[in-house]
Amino acid sequence: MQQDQADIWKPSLIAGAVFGLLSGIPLVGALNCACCSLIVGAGVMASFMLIRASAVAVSYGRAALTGALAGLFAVPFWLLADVSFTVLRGRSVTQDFDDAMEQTRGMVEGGEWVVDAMAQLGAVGLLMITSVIFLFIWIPFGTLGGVLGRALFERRTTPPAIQPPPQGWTPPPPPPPADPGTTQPTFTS
Amino acid sequence: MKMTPARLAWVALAISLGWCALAAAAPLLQEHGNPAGAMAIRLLQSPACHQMAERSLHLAGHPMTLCARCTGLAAGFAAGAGWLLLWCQSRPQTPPFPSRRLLAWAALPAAVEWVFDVTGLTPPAAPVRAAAAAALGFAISLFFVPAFFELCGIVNDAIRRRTAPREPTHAAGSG
Repeated sequence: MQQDQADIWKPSLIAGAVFGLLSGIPLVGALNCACCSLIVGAGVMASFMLIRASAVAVSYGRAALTGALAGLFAVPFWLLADVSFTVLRGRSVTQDFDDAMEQTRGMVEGGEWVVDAMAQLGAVGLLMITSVIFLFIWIPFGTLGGVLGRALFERRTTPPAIQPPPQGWTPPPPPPPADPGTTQPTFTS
Repeated sequence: MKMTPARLAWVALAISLGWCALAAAAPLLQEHGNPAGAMAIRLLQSPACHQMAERSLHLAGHPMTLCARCTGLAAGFAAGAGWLLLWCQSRPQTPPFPSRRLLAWAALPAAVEWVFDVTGLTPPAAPVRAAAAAALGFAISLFFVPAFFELCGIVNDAIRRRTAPREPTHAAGSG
């Protein structure tokens, strides 16, 4: 059974890489503004790949784990794509952050010290903080995608999970040894 | 501490309620003279939502930091986790996974609302968007919480296998 189950690392790495890179592309990455839809997509894709590769029905737990890993792997790939595109467009790494700040300032008046404190962190600090926030948000959304992918694509039935026996339960005694005088029926030609 | 479905439902309920509470806290903080807190929350939740004021619910005259759909999803998820918590407290076993049909039915209001929104027939009001998404969030949590419980079991087993002392292996014929 264990051997029939597909490896979870490959689908999660591929899905995480694809959707992480997409998240780093300007405009395409904005799709994440709709409930992290790209990252949910990463989880769905990882789950789909796992189901296709597995010889037995994939459980919700394994699909969820694959989705979570896809969300985890998406973060470094997002970082790579984001920094690459920022450099290619000739923008400063802090420019995106400044844009977000500008948008926030339009909605919240005051609180300038938060902006100043963030600006003190510099480009590397801001990218690190953003990556950590993304980790905390993308792993649950990736897990969600994995669960949704399992619900959508797995048509086979999973064997029921073995429930632990209730307290005080004792196994039944083994059957008595067979009487040597009686023999099992045999079929001979 | 042993993870049980009821404990996991508690954690899911706390996290989803906390996420909703943050979204609701920002406009209240802003109203009561703490714009820095409001700004920090807005920045924290910005990776997950567009936060457009015209598509958000308003509290104390200020927009929440999640749009109406995201707020509805999170609130529905919290309601589902609460429902599972009640279920787990009345039964000793792991909650079963619902039929995938439930997911399809629960997604229907959000899909209809989205079609109306995109086609511009009658753009739904923010509370309608939130309510439609809440149904989907509720159904998602009924899948998510038991799945996460299974995930914890898989991770736990993997850790136990790695940390368990290995039995000495005897080569055949040696001795």
